Amino acid sequence: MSDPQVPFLNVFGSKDHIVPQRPRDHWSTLVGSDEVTDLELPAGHVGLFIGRRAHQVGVPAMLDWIDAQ
Amino acid sequence: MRRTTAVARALAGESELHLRPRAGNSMVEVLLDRGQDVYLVEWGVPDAADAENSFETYCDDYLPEIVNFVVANSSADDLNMLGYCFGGVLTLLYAAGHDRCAVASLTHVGHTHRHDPDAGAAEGRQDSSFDPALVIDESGNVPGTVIGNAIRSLDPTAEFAITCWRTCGTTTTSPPTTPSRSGATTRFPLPVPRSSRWPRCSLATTGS
Repeated sequence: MSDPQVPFLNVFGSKDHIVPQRPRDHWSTLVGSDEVTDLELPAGHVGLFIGRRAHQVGVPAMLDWIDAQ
Repeated sequence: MRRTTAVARALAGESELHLRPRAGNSMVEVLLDRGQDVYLVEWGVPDAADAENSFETYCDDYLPEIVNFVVANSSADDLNMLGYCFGGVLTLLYAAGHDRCAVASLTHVGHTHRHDPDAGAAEGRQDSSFDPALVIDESGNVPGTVIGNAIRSLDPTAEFAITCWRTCGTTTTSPPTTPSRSGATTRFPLPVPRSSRWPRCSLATTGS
């Protein structure tokens, strides 16, 4: 097994009580990608995808990143 | 050339509900609107044939087959992969174990590599006294309801609030309207419950 080398986007919710993630979980030291991007959203686990705020901010941001790949 | 994105959800739970195309509130819909081909990985409901599944089953058997299928059926030579929750774990392990795979980028949503034993869905479940055999059903799998209830137990009042909102909201056939500053009439964006439905909720909340 090797470190993934492809561009990597980590999206997490600061209010996610199901899978809480600290702002500095150091993904960049765990994957081999040159491009590691963290996207912190003020959302819970489900709110990362659904809801008005998700579709105004979160979803466009993550899809902009995917579109650019 | 159209870009392609494959979306992998968690194995259990209802996470697919917010990934499936639904008008106006679906990430998949937005991806389609942006001109991407989208493939949504559906793991299905595990039965006795899945009881012996391991990480290797999903990461070394299923995901390579899925990626090969997607590439063979799309106009692109590679794809972007998005993993949600435990789907993020599986896609990361797949990409790490298959360094020549046709994945152009990895997006992980709501997934962490460092589970805090004192918080989140992992709370209390890393205790050595916890016996996974106790929650396995007759098919040899952990039922999705066990996962769902574990998640609900983290914030039980949240579900009550949502149930209350749905119960009250669905009784409203015509949302009230309010005059805007300009004098025009604006409809509330969400159904507002009739006041007669609220005492029932209030009683439950206060315990009186």
